[in-house]
Amino acid sequence: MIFTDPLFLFVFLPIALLAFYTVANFLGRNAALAVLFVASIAFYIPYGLFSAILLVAALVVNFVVALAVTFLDESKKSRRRIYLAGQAYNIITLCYFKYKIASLLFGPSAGIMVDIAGIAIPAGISFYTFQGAAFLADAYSRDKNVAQFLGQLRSLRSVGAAFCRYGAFVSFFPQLIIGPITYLSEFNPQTRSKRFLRLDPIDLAVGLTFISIGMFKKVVIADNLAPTVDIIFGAAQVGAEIHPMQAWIGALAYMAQLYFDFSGYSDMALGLARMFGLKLPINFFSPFKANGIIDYYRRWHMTLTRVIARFLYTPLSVAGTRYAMFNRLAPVPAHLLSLWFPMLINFQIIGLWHGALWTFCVFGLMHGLWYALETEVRASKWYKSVKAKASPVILGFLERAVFFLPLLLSLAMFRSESVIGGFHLFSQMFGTSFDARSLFNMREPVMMLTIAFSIIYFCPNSVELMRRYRPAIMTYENKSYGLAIMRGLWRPGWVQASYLSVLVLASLYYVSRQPPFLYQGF
Amino acid sequence: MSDYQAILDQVAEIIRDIFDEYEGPVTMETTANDVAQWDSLSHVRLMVMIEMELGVHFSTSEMQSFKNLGDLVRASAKQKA
Repeated sequence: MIFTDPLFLFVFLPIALLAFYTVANFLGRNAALAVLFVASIAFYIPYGLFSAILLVAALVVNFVVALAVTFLDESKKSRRRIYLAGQAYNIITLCYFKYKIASLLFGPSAGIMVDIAGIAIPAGISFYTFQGAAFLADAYSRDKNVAQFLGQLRSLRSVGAAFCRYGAFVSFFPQLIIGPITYLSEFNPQTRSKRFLRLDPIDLAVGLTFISIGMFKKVVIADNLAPTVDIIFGAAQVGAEIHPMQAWIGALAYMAQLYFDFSGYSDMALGLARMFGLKLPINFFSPFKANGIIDYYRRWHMTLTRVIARFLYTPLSVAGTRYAMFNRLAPVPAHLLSLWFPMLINFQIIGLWHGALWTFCVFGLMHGLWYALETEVRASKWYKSVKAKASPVILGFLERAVFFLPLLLSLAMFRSESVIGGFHLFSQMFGTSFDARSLFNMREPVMMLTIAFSIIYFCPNSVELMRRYRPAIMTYENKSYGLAIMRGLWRPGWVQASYLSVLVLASLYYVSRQPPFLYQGF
Repeated sequence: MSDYQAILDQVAEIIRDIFDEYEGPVTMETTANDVAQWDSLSHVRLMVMIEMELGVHFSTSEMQSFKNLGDLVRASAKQKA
C-alpha cells in the first residue's frame, strides 16, 4: 500500500488506529505494539508475499542475533562471530535481492539463483535492512536501550512479546518502505513514556496536518511536474535535439519533483507516526535552502546521511587518519587517506544505495568530489578570511548561487535513464538548438515551477511551521533559513482546518492517478 | 580525580594545538559545539592524536558516543587504570 492510496487513508489507517488505541486501553503496551506489528505486516503484504516472507525472515534472523549478542558474555569469542554472521546476512540479502548480484556475476547460467533474485526488488529492503543493521550494531556495542527494549526474557511468552516489540520497531509502517531510518535510542524511550498509548487529540491534529500537507506536495505538486520531466528525459535518452529553454525546464522540473515527492513522503511519515503517538527522526529540512553540499546533506535524507557516516565514512576516516598519523605521512597523502578516499567511497555507496545504475555511480562521484572540495575550501585560510570580512547576507547569497548549478546538474544525472542521456541533456541545456521542435506547451510547467520554487525558497518547512508541537526528533541541528516574516506558527483551529481541507480536496482530485513515490524505487 | 585532571591537561594541550583559534576554557564540560573549528573531520584527528599521546584506543562507535570531554577523559582513565 502507498500512503496516498485512498484505501490506505480511509480504510487501513482508521482500522489500525482504532485497533491500536482500543487494545492499548484494555491490554497495555505489549499488545498495542503487537497490533502495530501485525498492521505493518498487513500493510506490507500487498507488495508481494515473497517480499513479506523476506521481511519476516530478516526480522527473525536479526532478532535472534540481537538476543545472542545481548545475553552472551563479552569474553565469548562466539559473540563477535554471531554478530558478524548477522550483519553478513543483512548485507548478502540486500546485495542479492536489490542488486541482483547472482545475475550480474553469473548471468543466466546461475539458473534458479537468478530466477529467485529476478523478482521485483522487495519494497523497502534498503530501509529496513539498514534499520535492522543499526539495531544489531547497537546491541553489539551494548547500548542500554537494547537490553531495556528486549526486557527480561524468562519465558517463551516474554520472548514472543519482545519479538513483537522488535517487529513493531523495524517494520512500523509509517517508516517501513521509505524510512526515516530510525535508531532504537529514538524509539525505545517513547514506547516507555507515560504519554504513549494515551489518545491525545493534539497527536491526531498534528498528524492529520502533516498528512494533508505531505499529500498535497506529492499528489498535486510533484505528480503534476512528472509529465514534463518524463518528456525531457525521454527525449534526452534518444539523443533528440532539445530547445535549451525546454532542457532547463525539464531539469528544474525534476529537481522540484524529487523535492516535493520526498518531502511529501517525509511529512506523511511524520504525520502517520504521530497519530500513534510516536515521533520519527527528521529526514528532510529545506535542503534546497542549504548554503553548500555539506549543509545540503545535513538537510536531505538526513537519516541515510547519518547511518552511512556512522558505519562507513567514520570508520574509513579513522583508519586513514590513524595510518597517516602513525606513519607521519606528508599533508597531501594524509588528506587523501583521511578525507578524500573515505568521502568518495561514502558517496559512491550513497549513489549505489539508490540502485545498481551507472547514473547513480556518476552522481555519487560528482557529490563525493564536490563534498571533499567544499570541505577543503571551507577549511582554508582564504575562505576564513573572506568569511571574517564579508557580510553574512551577501556571502550566504553567493554560496547559494554557487551551490545551485552543480546540484541541478547532478540531480539531472541522477534522473537520467543513462549516463550518455544525462550528458546529452547537459549538452542541450548549454547548447544552441534554438530551432528544435517544441516538445511541450511551456506555459503550465513554467507556472508550476514558479509556484514550486517560491514554496521551496520562501515558505517555512512543515517542521518549522509545526515546531510548537515538536513534530520530529532532531537528527542534526539545522538553522532555520528564510524570511522571519514567514515563520508563523500553526495551531489547530477552524481557519487552519479550512486551509487544510483545500489541500486535501485538491489532493483527492488528483489522487486517482496513484503514481508511486520516487524513493520507493530505491 | 587527580588522574582525570592529569589526562584533561594532556587533552587540553592537544586541543590548543589542533584548534589554534580557540581561546576559551577547556574543561570536562567542553563540547564540540563550544569550539568553532571542531567539526567531524577534526574530531577524527583529535581522537587519533589523543590515542597516540595517551596510549589508549577507542573504537569508532566510542569516538562518536562521547558527549563532552569528561566522557572522553573518563574512558581514557578507565583504559589506563
